Amino acid sequence: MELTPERKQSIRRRLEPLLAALDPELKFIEVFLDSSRENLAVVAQKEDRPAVLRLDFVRYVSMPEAELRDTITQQLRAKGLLDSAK
Amino acid sequence: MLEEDGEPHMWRWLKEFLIGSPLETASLHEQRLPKKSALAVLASDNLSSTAYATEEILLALTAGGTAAFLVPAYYSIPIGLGIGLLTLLVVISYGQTMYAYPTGGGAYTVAKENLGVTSALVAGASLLIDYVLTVAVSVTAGIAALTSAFPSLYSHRVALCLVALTVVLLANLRGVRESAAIFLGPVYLFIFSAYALVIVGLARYWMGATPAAAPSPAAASGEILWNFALVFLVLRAFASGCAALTGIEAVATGVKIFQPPASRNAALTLYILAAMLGTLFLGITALAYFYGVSPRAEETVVSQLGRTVFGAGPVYYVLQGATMLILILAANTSFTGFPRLASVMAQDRFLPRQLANLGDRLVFSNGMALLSLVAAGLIIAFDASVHNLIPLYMVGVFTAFTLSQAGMVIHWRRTRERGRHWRASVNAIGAVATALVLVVVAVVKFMHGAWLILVAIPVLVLACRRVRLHYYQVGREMSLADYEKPEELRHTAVVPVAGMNKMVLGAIEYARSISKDVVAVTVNVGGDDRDQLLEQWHAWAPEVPLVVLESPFRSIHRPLLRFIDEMEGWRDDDVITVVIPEFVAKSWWHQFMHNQTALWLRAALLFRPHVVVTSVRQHMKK
Repeated sequence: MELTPERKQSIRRRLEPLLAALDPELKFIEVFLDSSRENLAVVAQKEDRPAVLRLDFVRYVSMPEAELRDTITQQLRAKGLLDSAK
Repeated sequence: MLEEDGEPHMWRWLKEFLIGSPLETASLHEQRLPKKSALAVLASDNLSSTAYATEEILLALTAGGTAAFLVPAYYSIPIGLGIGLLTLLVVISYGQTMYAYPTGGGAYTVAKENLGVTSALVAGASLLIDYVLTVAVSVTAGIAALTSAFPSLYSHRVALCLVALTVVLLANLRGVRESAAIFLGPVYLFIFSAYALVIVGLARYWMGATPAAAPSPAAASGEILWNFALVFLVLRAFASGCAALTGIEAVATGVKIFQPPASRNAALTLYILAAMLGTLFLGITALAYFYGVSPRAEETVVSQLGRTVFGAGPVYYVLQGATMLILILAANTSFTGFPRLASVMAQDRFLPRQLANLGDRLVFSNGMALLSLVAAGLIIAFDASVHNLIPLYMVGVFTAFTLSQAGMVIHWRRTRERGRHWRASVNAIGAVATALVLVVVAVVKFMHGAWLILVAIPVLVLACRRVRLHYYQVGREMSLADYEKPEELRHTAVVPVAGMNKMVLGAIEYARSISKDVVAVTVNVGGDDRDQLLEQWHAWAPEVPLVVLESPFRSIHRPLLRFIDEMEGWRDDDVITVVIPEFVAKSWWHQFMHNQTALWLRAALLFRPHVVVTSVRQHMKK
């Protein structure tokens, strides 16, 4: 269920600026994979409100930046962590 | 710290010291009482009313305790005879009830079988309320007798009432046999001293040793004009004197405490009780008239009679002491009636099931505890004032009498037993008579507090229906009729941690044994040990991801609960298992220093439907 440190770092490097661009208060906290190795969990946090975002791990690897941004934006909006205007 | 059965040493020692060692279920039959002991347990409420029923009649006839009677004092005699006749009807009715319904339950059972559920609930609710009031009134009246003798204690009356209530509760929690043994002496002392008062008083009167009754001004002038006000006054006197009937119901409810043949023994005990009640009540009423005693604020009628008949010597003080004890012990009858009625209603799922469970000493200890709690609440709310509590009395018991007798009329119509016609007639007359008394009591005492009971009864009936509906819904939801076996459960185990130690590693290992997906979570409230924790984590549990949440407002609870909620929706798991690492300290007082977050977390997660909470405990050796 745990990713290698290198993999974690690469995901972090990719998602941290993306989250900050959406909302500077959004912090990247942690990332882990489930036992099926299909679901990637990205834990982000704004103030004291954590959110667990779900990404398809296989698609994530080849997902274009725009699509990744849309997927994350959509989930954050659904959880009320991002204004619909952004 | 703990025994094998999980009870702490100290708690077990205290419990055994206060209420005794647990009794085997097999010895239940040994707890059943012979008539002599059962009478002591069940008679105190009813017999205690002879201490004040006559006074209530005289107070009503004098319109509030002035010495001058508004109607002739001898009216108390026919009123007393009328109450005696009503007692006879009610007692015959309950005697028949005990044979027809030997499992106990009294008015509730009779009404349920013959009049339907709503009537049964009205009867049950009325009696439960009345049992609570009996406890509150009798304890308060007993302590009032004490504070009259020692006025300096008056300001502590509420605390004294609560102490007396606790003593009666503990005595009853020791079991039926032990409480009977404790209360046998005071009850029989009262019976003997009250009979001595009546017999010696009547003998002295007939031997002409005392003056004849002083005629009342109204009687002397011959100006008795019957009008509405006078009828109301007489009815009020009759209704007030009907306090003598309270407590009869308890024998019918408590059939099961009698040795076999239970119905026969219970009926015989009831007849003996009624005979004693009738003779003592009528004897005291007659004596009050013969000796020209009128109610006085500073001294009770029984006390005045005792002083006149015996003089202010030791016999008088024995009578007064016994009267005070019987007033307090009147509460004891409710400790038999309330838990048994509550258990019958709980078996029917109208009250929480715990009330049907027998405790360590084979008594319904949960019912007793509930009765004490509610009575204590009433005593505190009414500032331990008998005057404030008395108007609440009697509405409930006469509602139950009426429904019980009406139910018995239907019962006789359904059976083919010999004598059913005259039996039905007795019950019908009794039902009409008690219904009339009920109306009079409700009207006369409405503004003085009876309205509260008229509101409380339907509220309790509604609550009982809601309890039953809840059990019905639980039964339906738990039913296997529509059960579909799920596919393999998929769940993530979330382990909240505060640091890295043996206890945490134990919880992590357990979580890994039940799920392939384990996540640890901690909340950083601004300390500088974050990096140290991460370092330890990578050393000891590198295969389990650790989520370190930040808490800018220093709350551990909010981020943690939100994270668990988020995990619940993350990948459509069937359930989330929250594995909580916990300390179990060696000593009970050490326990208070640990696990506060765990306690809180378990409570907070209680109502989340897809969250399973489990504790992995680290037992401390020292």
